[in-house]
Amino acid sequence: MGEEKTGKKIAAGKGKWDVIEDKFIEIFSSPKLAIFIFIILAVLSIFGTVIEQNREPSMYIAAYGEKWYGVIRGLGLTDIFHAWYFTLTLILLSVNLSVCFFRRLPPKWRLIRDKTVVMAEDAILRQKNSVKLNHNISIQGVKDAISGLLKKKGYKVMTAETNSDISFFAQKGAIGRIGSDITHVGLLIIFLGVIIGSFFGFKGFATIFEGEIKRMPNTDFELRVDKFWIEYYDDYRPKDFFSTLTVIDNGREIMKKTIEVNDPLKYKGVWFYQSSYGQAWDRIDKARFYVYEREGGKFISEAIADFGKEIEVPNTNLKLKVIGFAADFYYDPASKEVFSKSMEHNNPAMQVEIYEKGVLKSAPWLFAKYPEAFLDKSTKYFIEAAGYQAPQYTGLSIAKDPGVNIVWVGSTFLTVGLFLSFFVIHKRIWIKIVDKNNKVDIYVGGNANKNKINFDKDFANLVNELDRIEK
Amino acid sequence: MINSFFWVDITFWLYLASCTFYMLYGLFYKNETLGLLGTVTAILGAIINTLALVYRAYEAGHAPFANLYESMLLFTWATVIGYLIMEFKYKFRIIGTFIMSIVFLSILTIVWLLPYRYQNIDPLNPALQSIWLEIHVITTFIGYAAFAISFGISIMYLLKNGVEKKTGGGLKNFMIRFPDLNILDDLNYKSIAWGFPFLTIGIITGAYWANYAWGTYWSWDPKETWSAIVWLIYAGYLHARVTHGWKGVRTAVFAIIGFIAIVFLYWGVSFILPGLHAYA
Ligand code: HEM
Repeated sequence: MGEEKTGKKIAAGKGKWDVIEDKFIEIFSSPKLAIFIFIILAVLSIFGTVIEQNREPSMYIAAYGEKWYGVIRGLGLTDIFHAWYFTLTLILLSVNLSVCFFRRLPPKWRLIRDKTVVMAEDAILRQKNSVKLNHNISIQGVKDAISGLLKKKGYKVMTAETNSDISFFAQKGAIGRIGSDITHVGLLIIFLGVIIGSFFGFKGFATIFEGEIKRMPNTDFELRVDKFWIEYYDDYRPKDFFSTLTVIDNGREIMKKTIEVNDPLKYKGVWFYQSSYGQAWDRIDKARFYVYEREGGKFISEAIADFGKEIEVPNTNLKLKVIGFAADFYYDPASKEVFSKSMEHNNPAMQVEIYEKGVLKSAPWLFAKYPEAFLDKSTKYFIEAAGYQAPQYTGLSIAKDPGVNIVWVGSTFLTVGLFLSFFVIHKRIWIKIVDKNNKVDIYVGGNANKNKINFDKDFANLVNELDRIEK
Repeated sequence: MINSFFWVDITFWLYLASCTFYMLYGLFYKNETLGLLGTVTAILGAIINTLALVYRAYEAGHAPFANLYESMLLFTWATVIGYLIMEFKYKFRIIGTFIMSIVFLSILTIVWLLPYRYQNIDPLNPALQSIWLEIHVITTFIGYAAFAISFGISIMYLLKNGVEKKTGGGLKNFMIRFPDLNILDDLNYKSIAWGFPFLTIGIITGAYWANYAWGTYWSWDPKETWSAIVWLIYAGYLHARVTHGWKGVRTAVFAIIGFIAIVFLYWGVSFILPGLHAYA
């Protein structure tokens, strides 16, 4: 063994580098490595489902504790599918696939192209399935019958003739042999598409109000939402939601489309998906107020105000004007500014200017959920923010993925390869009839690369029919 | 009133009957009639199972694959039909004992164990309203059915193999009807050769649909990830078999592990792990 190896090295007359190269090719053409990689990928993936991915740190700390969170994060387990070792494993898989492909295809190709028609009798009998028959018939008498029989079974038949014998070679389904290679190439194409997508694509999100025009992130055009609406089932669960969008490029209206969930708009390779909707977090259309006497709490009246418009409160000398809104009230002490902490309406508050007899008395924030939290004492009234209507925005997912079509091409290869590999079986049959003075010996041999039990039946049938030719 | 629940009940009893006949057929192996009864009730079961799906689709106004209850009915349907095709082709009735047991247990879980609220007809949430959902679910479940069959066959293989080793081939019990070990092994491979392409198409159509619905064909949510794990297990099976000549016990164990992973993918992920695919 050892000698052989050294012998080969010397004979090849190659330097050290080539030896390493040989070793590399040997390792990477091995399907053993493939199975090993499958196991690694599977185990890493299991980690990725048991540990929730890409959540906020507080969630991990609550689940695992401060110390373990450090460990988990350090090992990349909170975003395992983008960890360097996961990517590396995928790269190894691709290298493995490529090397394997180039190593194995040429010999396989030769086998597929191989059309050895003439085979020695004993070689025929050495095939996986074989039999020897003899008939009392002339050699020319059986020739057409055999040819016809094989053709009827869907084989491509080739013959070669000498004075004393005739050889047949029949095969079908040769293409099935490269099914697995097509699958492997399909996988490589998918990886290529994924890589292109991750380098040249992007994902984004935008919220737009009805009537608003907005430049879309990472693009050079704008979108306008002409209309947004929701359809409900009878039980008020949302059934579907829609936005009518207009693309505005260079100031010109290019196209218009109503998108819905499962039906995006495409423009310049960018896809816009209807993904969510919600209420504005920084503005409202209308507010409703209840006004009471502060002392005693007697209800006085109700008032509804459009945003930014002064209105009179009936039965009082008050005027109110809504000048601000925050859906999730937050006061930043550093900048002394108020803003909404999130897009959720967790703690809605509106800022209202209160005028009494035309004089601005104060401008408090009124909290819809905590009406009595901060009592404004500038007038003798208690004003409660009783409700509001906020404009709805449509939430669009934005995606550009120039690799996605490559992924679908790869997927098609992969699938077609699987069907070829599992259902197109390469069957080969050699028959030789040898003249024995008005009698013939018939040698029949054949094999199939798969589904051998089935081929056994096929072969037995064939032999049966050959047996009956003379009778 | 006749509704889908009525047909599901009938299906349930037919599958129970079929399963019982096949078992008796296994135990009293001189009696061919029992096997025939097993087959006939399985065929009837498949027909009524079809009716249950059709009624369900009619009641819901959408293809009946929107929740666990409905998809389990699809699973039993595909498994029985897959098995019946195999029975007609290869004539090994005894395999029905195992496959119909799996089918019966499956329908038992949804009829008796699944809380009532899971049996309700749900309106489709907007992302599910797509022809791709139907293609995705049907192909995936043909895959699952084929893997379930390979699971049953693998158990038969291990049983027969174990007993043959102990008794040196002298089988007295119902295993006398089992096909030869190498035939079982071959049938195991054949079922996986059906399951793997269909699971693959299921994964790809799922990705295609996800891309169309929300712009990402793969987002590593637990269900997607587990489908990739299952896929890798069976890819491992195929390579071990084709390139390393693994056969028999080892591939049978492989197929059993694969199917356990599918059960987890199907039930475990829905109930234990968080993710998008909460419905099926
Ligand atoms: C996830 C990745 C892979 C998938 C889905 C895959 C799929 C397949 C399939 C379906 C077959 C046919 C099996 C059969 O005929 O029963 C096959 C065969 C094969 N695969 Fe892979 N494969 C993958 C990765 C690899 C890698 C990395 C190698 C590298 C060595 C490899 C090497 C082989 C070999 C040598 C065969 C033998 C059969 C033949 O040559 O036709 N595969 N593969």
